[in-house]
Amino acid sequence: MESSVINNLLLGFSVAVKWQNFGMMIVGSALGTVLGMLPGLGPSTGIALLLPLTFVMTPEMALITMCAVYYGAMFGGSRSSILLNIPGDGAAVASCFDGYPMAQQGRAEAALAISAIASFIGGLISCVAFVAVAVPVARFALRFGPPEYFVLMVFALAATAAISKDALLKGLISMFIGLMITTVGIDLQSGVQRFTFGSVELQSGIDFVVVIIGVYGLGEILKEYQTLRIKGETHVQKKFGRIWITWEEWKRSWLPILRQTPVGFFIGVLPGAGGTIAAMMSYNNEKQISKHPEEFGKGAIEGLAAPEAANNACSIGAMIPMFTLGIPGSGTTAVMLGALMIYGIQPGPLLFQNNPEIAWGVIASLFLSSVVCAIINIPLAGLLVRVLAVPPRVLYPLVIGMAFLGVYTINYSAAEFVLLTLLGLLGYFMKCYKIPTAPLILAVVVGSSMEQTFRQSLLMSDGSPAVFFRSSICNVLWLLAVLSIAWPFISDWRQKRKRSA
Amino acid sequence: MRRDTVVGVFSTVLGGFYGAETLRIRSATIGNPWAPRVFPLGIAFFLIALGVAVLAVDRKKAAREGGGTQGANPKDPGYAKLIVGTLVLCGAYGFLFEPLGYILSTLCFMFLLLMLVNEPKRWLANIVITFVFTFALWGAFVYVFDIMLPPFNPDTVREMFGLGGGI
Repeated sequence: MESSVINNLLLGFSVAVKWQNFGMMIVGSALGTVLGMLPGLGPSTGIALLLPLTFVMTPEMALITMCAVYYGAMFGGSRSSILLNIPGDGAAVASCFDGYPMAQQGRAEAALAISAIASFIGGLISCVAFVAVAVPVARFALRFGPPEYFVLMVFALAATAAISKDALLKGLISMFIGLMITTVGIDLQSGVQRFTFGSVELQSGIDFVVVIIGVYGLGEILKEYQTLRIKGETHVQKKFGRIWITWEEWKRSWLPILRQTPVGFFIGVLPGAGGTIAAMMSYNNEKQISKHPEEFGKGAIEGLAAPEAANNACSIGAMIPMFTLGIPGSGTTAVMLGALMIYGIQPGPLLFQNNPEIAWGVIASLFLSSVVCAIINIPLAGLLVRVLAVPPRVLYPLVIGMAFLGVYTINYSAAEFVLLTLLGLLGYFMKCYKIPTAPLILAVVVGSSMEQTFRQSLLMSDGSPAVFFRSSICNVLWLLAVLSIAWPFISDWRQKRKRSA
Repeated sequence: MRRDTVVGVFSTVLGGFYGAETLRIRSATIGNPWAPRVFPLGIAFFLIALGVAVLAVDRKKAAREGGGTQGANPKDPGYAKLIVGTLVLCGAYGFLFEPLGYILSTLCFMFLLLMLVNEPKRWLANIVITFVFTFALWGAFVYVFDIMLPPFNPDTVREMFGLGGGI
């Protein structure tokens, strides 16, 4: 590793261990764990709700807090999977398969411990990989001009929208609705008003935080209302023995953890793929490799260790495109990218040059968050899971109240409350009709830059669209964009062929 | 109506409306006069095209499945009341937040929301939660985050309800 990297990392640690930053990291990790545990409130919603509160912080403190929440949510997501068979978020679905049977067999302590240990190891290894990869990628990205950035955003959006064949068209619709929202307000280049309908409040555009809180937060709760009374009360185990694993259980788990961490990390780097795919893929990989595949789904500890490691590795990997290219690869990193933009900081290759204390401070905080989350999630697991006993009928009104106050702090105006309500309705509609929301969020965050780079590129070329094919970077990115849209069809065709063979 | 039919119609209508509104945008006075319209026109075109594509795919799927609606998950019978009630309360909160001030409006909003979602039979718990939430957040915002929340504003209330004259 280069000495400059080590020096920068040391600079990062000096930022991350400042008592204010470290304190917020602990608070963020604990809060993230709790938010991750609660079904329906994933990391994206959690960060979106907390985002306005970070406006009073310094940029590095805000990002460290948000990363800690994200990281904590990844740890916490599996708690409800193990104890209730209800995943805290999509990425924790695979943890239900063997985690819940373990708890049913009276091995909840081992399940809680291995999920935290696997998350810790997976996260820590991925942090090292992050340090190794981030700077070269950022240096490479310095070659990007407006056309390359435009095509890169096309690729990121296409990859997120085209996550499955069935949801492809709806994913693209979601993406275009997001882009549509970003065009509201005064056009930055010409000063012309667009889609304001005479409203003064809409002249400055629709703040992406309102969109995120509305679609993710309010929309999710409205959707959860559909089954609020059906689900009834949850009875969660509150008394535990020693939360740890035996030597035999460790021997079965360590190799799956090491094997599936790179898988999760790589999937995280790819735009759109996300923690759910990483966890499911690693679970299936381990099942295929295992000498005892029949034990999977019946409480096999490696069936819990593998997805947990991959899931956390994925969350670290997902931060690479955000920090180095300024392109979010997931809904959560889109929220974090938006936060950086609020502070007037342009994420991307220059972040490492212009704001090394932020970039490296956050990277160092990821290492420290791994340790903090492991401490929170192993000895304090018994205490934290009590949150799961809070009934949703009490929790949801409180979250709605928080959402409105969060939105108020954006402009210190209640004018956006109506907009938030309408966006909540949009989010509810999208969830009911199975339209994925992540492409919309990504588009809302990058949409404005996308239009600016599109128009700058056309200005550079006197209106010729050939500028979008001017370099090999552009061409490769176009190819990747087309491939990401075609991939669900190719994958489907391959599976059909495999079945018929 | 089938789920994807609704999505297809929604996307097509939204794209059509957005496209029509795009054509009403004023021309730029500097540079290319069409520049502010190009990007939105592209979005409108794709929204319409994708909406039509969803409808076409859904028609094929419906023919294959022999019509009928797509399967739905079981729902709480009273969920529509919860959703409409929450939306109405959210809208009202938006209108009353600044005139009534944070404390008064939030006490009303949270209490009514809890009565709706957590049911009226738990009225005592709802009152306690409302007060704890309202004042805990007020303390956090004012003292920890140094953010001022709106106080009660009698002038705005008078203006809102058309009550002229001063006290």
